[in-house]
Amino acid sequence: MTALTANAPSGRRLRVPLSILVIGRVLRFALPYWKGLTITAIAILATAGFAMATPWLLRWAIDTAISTNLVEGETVISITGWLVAVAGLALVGAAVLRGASMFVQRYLAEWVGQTVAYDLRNAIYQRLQTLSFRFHDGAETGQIMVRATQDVEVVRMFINFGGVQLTFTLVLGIGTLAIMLAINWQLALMVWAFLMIIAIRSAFVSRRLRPIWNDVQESQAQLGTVLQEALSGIRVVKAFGRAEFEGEKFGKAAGFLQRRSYDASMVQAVNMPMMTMLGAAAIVVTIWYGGREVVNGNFTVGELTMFLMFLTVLQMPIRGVGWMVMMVPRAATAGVRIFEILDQESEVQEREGAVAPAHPQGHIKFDQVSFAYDPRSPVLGGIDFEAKPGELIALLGLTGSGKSTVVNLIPRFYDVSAGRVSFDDQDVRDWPLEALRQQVAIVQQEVFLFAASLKENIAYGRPDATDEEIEAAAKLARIHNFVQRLPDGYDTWVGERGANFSGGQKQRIAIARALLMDPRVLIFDDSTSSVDAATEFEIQQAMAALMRGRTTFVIAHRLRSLREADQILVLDQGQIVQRGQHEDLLQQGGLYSEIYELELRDQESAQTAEPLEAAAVGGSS
Amino acid sequence: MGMMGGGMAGGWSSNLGGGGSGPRSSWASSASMSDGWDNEYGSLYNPRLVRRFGRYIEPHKRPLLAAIIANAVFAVAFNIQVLVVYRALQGALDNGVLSELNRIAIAFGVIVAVSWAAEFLRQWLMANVGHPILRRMRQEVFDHLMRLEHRFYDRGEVGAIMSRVTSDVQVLQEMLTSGVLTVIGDIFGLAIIMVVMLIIDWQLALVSFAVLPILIVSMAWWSKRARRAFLETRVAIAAVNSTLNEDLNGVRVVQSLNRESENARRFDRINNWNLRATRRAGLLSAAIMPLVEILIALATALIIVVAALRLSGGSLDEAAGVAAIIAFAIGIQRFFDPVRDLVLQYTMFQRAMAGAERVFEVLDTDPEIEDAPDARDLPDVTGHVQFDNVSLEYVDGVRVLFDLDLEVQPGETVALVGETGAGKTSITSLITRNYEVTEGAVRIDGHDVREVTRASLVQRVGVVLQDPFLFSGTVLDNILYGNLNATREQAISAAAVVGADEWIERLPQSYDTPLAERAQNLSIGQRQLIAFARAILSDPRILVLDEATANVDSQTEALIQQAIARVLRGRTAFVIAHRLSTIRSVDRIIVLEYGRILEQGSHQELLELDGEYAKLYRMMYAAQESVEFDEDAALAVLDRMRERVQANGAAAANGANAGAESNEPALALD
Repeated sequence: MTALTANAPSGRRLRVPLSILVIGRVLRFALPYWKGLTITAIAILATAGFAMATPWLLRWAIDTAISTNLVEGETVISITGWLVAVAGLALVGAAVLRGASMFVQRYLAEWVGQTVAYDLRNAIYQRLQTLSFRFHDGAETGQIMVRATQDVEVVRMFINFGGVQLTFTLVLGIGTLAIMLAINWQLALMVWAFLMIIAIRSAFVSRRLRPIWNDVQESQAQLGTVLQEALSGIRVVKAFGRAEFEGEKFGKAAGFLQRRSYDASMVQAVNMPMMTMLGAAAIVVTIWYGGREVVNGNFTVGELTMFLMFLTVLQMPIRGVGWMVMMVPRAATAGVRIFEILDQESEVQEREGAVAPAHPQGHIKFDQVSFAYDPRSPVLGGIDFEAKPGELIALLGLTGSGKSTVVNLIPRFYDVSAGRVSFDDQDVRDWPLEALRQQVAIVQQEVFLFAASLKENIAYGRPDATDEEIEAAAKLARIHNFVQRLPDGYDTWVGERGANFSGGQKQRIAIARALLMDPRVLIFDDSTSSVDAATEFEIQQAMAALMRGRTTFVIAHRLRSLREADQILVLDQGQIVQRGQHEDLLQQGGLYSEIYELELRDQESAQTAEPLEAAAVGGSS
Repeated sequence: MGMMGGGMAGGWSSNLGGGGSGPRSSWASSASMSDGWDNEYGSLYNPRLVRRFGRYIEPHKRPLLAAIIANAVFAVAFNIQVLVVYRALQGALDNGVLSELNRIAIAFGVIVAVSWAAEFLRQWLMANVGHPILRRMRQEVFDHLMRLEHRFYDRGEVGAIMSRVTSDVQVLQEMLTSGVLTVIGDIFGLAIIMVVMLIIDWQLALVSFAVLPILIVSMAWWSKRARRAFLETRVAIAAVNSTLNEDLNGVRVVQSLNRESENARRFDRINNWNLRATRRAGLLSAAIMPLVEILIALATALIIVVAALRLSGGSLDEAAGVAAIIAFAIGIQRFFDPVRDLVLQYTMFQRAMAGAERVFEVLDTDPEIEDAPDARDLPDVTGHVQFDNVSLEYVDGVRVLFDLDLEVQPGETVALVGETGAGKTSITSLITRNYEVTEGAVRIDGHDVREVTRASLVQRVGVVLQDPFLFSGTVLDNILYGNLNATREQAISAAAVVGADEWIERLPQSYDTPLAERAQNLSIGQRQLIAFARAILSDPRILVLDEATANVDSQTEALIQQAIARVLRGRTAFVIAHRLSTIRSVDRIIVLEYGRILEQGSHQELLELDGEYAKLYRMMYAAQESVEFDEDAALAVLDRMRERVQANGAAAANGANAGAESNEPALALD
């Protein structure tokens, strides 16, 4: 579960058998598009064939149509007019056919590659959406994003270049080599010696470049982090006068980026001219040796031309061989990282044939429940309580006492380690997940809003809600008036994470969300304390509307909630240490009264001091 | 990724480096989606921008000149090869003398060596020029951004600003490290190959040139379409990645609201848009290479036919004619390549110009607040703060503070109270001169804040904000942020003062525990305590707490309250807090309304005054202004919804299994 953190096997070399296995699995994603792949394969053969046809036709044009011959050092030609015309037409025809098949090859390679990337992204997305909280607790968003973006991209490139283009290059290479060997094996070997050096060199250089590129990418990410932090935290930077310090941090990252980019450029600066030179050297050899052979009569002018043309055609694909070959191990590594996500099984699985009760009431029971992320350090132990439909249960305890964990077990965000949580006398593990979560709504402490309109955010749990329903929920949540004052009303765009809304507004939006869910059970994580007085009052009212007739769990630090609770559960280190109603617990002493003294007494004195309290209670009903 | 198509068409070379460059990290700056896509391309040549580049190029004039010369040498050496091939063949065909062939082979070898040296030199020089320029540009933009004040950041979005420093500079990088010289090289190369072709046989040369207009017209058409298509792929992938990122961050909400399948459908829609966009772009990028190949073949065929006609007509020497055909067959490629390349570069130049425009726009934004030329360092102060008849306008004519007079004695704690927009944060921002007063003056121990250096000013003033922004690094690093000269021991004792040492020591690596992104491995309260420790590490005389306890749970707040009590001792403090219980014990409460001081005094005095504060205080627990609406009607709407949902649910349950399969996108995975 913790595999998805920073120390993931990003640069690790895989063992060969594993690589083959992973590549096989990657290719299985391309399998559904076998039709496209088959056509691509045909197109590859056709393109390679026509690519060889052009030099061949040129040779034929020179040797036959123009019929060039060397007779005692003198060039003698006899031109057959109609043959020349045929040669010209054939050249253009071959080029058109080659163009067409090359187009098909390239397009389909891209098509299949992109489609596989699309499938992978969807698969990753769906997997991530369904994995339980346990997975997300241990995973870093940044790391997952890298897998879903860069690694998917690597796989796509592998299918396109490592697969299709490499095959094309191999077919073309073998084809031309065969022809050249058949015509003049000595020259063919000489020329291919150069081409092989280019190919091997290219593999060698790609291998050298890879760690450099990794560094470049890494340092680009680092630069981005420094930048992002400095800009997001600009007020802190300013408050401490740390502009220079940040500048140095940035400079360090930018310096590393520059050095590694420079290294990459230098490898290229040495390599690229070398490749060009080797290619040109092959031409020199062809002209020098080929010229002699022509003079000696062992080689025709057309054949010499054909050799030269082959060299031109082969040049670029051969140079890319190394890069294409290196796609294979890269894709294997990327594949491992992608499958690490896809192979995660959610511990929370719906039982086969699970059926929800027809009329859920909201009767919640914990039977000797314990829970642990890791068996050695239990988070909850022996939790035992019952909440009857419509009751208000308050949970109180210090940070880390397990309050949130208790409520997260009800909608089955985690599964219990032992014991049983039941909803209407049916184990939550026997409920269909969707039906269960439909009946349990949570208003979180940190409300997450999505980059969508306000309307969509309110209807997030019920996308088919009508405008009227949305508005009714907003009214009950006491957010309607605020929304109406916005220029775009319910269509107001909620920026990234709702940065434009205050905590109190977000909380009421979340309450409206929960109202539309119309659940039987409500969980209200209300430990955020401070909003201004008016907002506090509105939230109280909104909560009252939401709680009506529902079983409610409140993680509360508000005296009002505690007083009204049918049962207060006081948690300490994963155990219920006290339970009962407010007055009883106060009498008992213990943790409850400690917390009361520390945090709640203030509220008490303020309330009793003010005679207006009675009016407020009246107004909120 | 935009040049991917170009890269493919332009040959393998540009792909070799493709792995690391390009806006791969686009999801990181996905916030910039709304920013600048429409301004993605600028005009091809903007003299003003080019002049500004001049400043960066100035120090590298000589290597740059050398690179251009090397470029020219390469262009000559590379293209003259065609002429040499021609001469070699012509010689061989003419008299079959082998000695000539040897000489020419040697000459050819020399030319190849020269072109290798020139090409190496060019790339080496450019690597040495391009990267430092980019680094300088990045650093300048960053440093400049750090100098800009609050007013600038109030306007812009972080994502949009970020893309200036990352992707816009990236585009300039493409242009600087390869683009400019490629273009110069292409122009040289084109000129020389044309000359070479004309020398070999001017008639055949003209025949080949005849194909050129077709190439240019079709390339221009293609490039216009491709530009749009590639732009769409960039926008689409940014949308895919930001959706993924957002839903990943909000996954807990998604699951608790049962949105998985609806979200999967939406994601599939965006993902599908990207797929279609990339396929369209793929169509275009797959088309260009074949087009060029066909045109090359057409030119070759024309040459053969024309040469054959002239050979049979006797107007062309036999050896020369055949040699010319071969030379042209090789040379034609070298003639077409630069033309195609130039068309591709055209688009890149437009992008680079638009990028440069945006980069310079940032650099041209002058900071409004800078140290006065004769600014002195603020000496040790007692913490006496005086607002002397201060007015403030963020926007001209819109006043947020009116003639404010306020004197705070050393060691005094004042609380600022008032509704949002009353001017609380405006007042505290003026102490550290985050904004410039419109009228009046702010003085610390008699020193006008405009007459001292900001660096010394912020050292005396500690600030804790509502959002305890922490940086990546360890817990210790973050505390030390308050005072880089402090020792580890001092940092630890600062943590102890705010009562954070106990839980920090329980962290896996204690003070050296690295923080996760946005410090999510800590609770808000813990983050805020670190921010407190950070603020007092430099032992400031004045402390500003701007809603510092707004986001923490009441248990943590109790802890923080204790910390505050210790921290405030002997310091002048400004406290902004919504919860009135937290400020009851301060020396003086200042109630603000619409940028004016309404009333001030201690808690008890203000309650007795029975003014605005007393009203606010009562409202804390007893707000009367209930919002009027027909609650029963609203409830009835929701009841009807319940019925509707139940009815739908029953209907859907029957067809659910059949429908679910077809609704999901093709994902037959496991």
